[in-house]
Amino acid sequence: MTTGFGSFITWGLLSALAYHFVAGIKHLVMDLGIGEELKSAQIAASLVVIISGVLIVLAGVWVWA
Amino acid sequence: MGVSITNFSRSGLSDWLIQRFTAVVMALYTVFIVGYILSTPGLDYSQWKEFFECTGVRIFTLLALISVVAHAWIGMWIISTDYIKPAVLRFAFQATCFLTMFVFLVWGIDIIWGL
Repeated sequence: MTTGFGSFITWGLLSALAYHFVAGIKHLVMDLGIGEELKSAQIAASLVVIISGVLIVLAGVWVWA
Repeated sequence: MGVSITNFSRSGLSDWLIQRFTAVVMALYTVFIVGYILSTPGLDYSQWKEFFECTGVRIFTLLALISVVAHAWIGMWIISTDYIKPAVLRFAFQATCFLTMFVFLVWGIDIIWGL
C-alpha cells in the first residue's frame, strides 16, 4: 500500500468486492420474493449501481486518504 | 446432460443452496473484517497477528475461505457451461478454475493455521 500502483490494485479489488457484495445482497433479497416485478426489479438494479458506486468512492477515500 | 459430469454436487438445487449459504457466510465475514479494520485505527502488524491468533477468528476465516472456493467453483462452472460451447475449451477452463481454487484453499489453510 506504499506505492501508487499498489493502492490502485487495492482499490480495484475492494471495488469488485463492494459491487459483488451489493449485487449479491440484491439476489438474496429477490430469493425472499421481494423485487421480482419488472418495475421493482429495475429499481433494485439501479439501487445496486448507486449503492456500489458510493461504496467504491468510499473505498477510494479509504485507500488514498 | 454431458456437462453435468463435471459438477461436484450433481444437483442444481444443491448448487443453489450452497451458493446462498456461502454468500451469507462471506457477506458476514466481509462486514466482520472491514468493521475490525475500521474500528482499529493505527492497526499494526502485531495487533493483526494477535487478532488472527484467536481460534474463533481462524475458524471464521477458514469457513469464509472454503465459502469463497465453493462459491467461485459453482459460479465459474455455471458461466462455463452457459458460454463455452467447445467441450475441450470448457473442460480446460474448469480444470484451470479447479486448480486455482485448490491452490487458494491449501495455501490459505497454510496461512491461517501455519501448519
